[in-house]
Amino acid sequence: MSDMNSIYEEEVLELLEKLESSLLLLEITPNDDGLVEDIFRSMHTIKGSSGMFGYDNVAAFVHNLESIYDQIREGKLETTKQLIDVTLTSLDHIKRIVKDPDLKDEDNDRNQKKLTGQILSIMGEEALQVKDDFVEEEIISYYISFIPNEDIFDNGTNPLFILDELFELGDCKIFPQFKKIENIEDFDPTKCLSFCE
Amino acid sequence: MKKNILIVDDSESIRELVGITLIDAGFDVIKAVNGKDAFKKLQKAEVDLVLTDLNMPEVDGIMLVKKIRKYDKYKYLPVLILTTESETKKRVEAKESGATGWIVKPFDKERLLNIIKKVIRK
Repeated sequence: MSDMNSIYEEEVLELLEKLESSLLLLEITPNDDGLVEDIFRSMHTIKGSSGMFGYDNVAAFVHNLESIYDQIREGKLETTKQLIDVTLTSLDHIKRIVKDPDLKDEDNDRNQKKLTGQILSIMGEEALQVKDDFVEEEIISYYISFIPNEDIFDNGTNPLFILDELFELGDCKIFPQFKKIENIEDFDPTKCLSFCE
Repeated sequence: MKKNILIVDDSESIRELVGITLIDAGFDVIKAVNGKDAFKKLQKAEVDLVLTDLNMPEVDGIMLVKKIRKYDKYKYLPVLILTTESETKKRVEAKESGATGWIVKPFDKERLLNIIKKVIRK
C-alpha cells in the first residue's frame, strides 16, 4: 500500500472514531445542531477523500449516509434511535470496506446492499433516486469586451476570425454593439466601428 | 519563479494528494486546514492561486472567498473551489462570492492542472 493510501486509511479511521463518539452523544441529545453538523462534516470528508483515492464503494455508501444528516441539518428529518443504530452499524461496515474496497468478501458485499437499503428507507422514497454527484464538469465564465481599433481593416485583419477562435474555446454568446456609429450617412465602411461583448 | 498555490482542505489525505499532484507539476504549495488558517497563511506569503474545499470547520470555503475579495490586493487572486458538492445553489453562491471557478472531486489530475494553468496569472 502506498504512503498516500495509508494517510487516507488513517484519516478515515480517525474520522470514524470521532463519528462514533459524536453519535453516542447525539443519542443523549438528539437536537444538538452542533453535533449533527460535526457528523455531517466528518461524513463529507470521508466521502470526498474516498472518491479521490478511488474507494468508490466507500464514497457511494457514505454519500447516502451523509445525505440523511444533511436533511437533519436542514430540519427535513429528525434524529431517531433507529437512525443512530443504523449509522453505528454503518461505521463498522465502513471500517471493514476500507480494507476491502472492491467488496470481495461476500459479507461486506451483502452488508453494503442491506445497509444501503436501510439508509434509503430512512430517507424515504424520494431519496431512492440516488443522485450521482461524483462526476461534474467545472464551468468557468468570462466576460470579454472586444473593441477593435477603428483602423483594424487596414492591415487586412478580419475581427470575425477572432470570434471564430473564441467559439472554439467553449460556449459563447456574442452581443454586437454599434454605439460608435453615430450617423449612418457618415458611415465609413473602411473603418471598424462595431464591437462585441 | 515557481507559482505558489495555497491548498485549503480539512482532509489531510486530500491536502497531501493535491499537494503531490501540484508539486509534480512544478508548483510550490502551502497547505491550510480551513478558511481561517488559509487567510493567515495568505497574508504571510506570496500566493498565486487558492484552491479551496467548501465544507470546512470554523471558516468554510465561501466565507474564505468573501474575506479574500474584501481586500483590494487580492482582487484578482484566482480562487478555485475544489469540492464534492455539485448543487447549483452552492455554485451560484460561490460565483457570487467571487470564486474564479469550480472543480468537482474526485478530480482528474490533467483536468485539474489544465484549469489551474488557465486561471493562474502569467
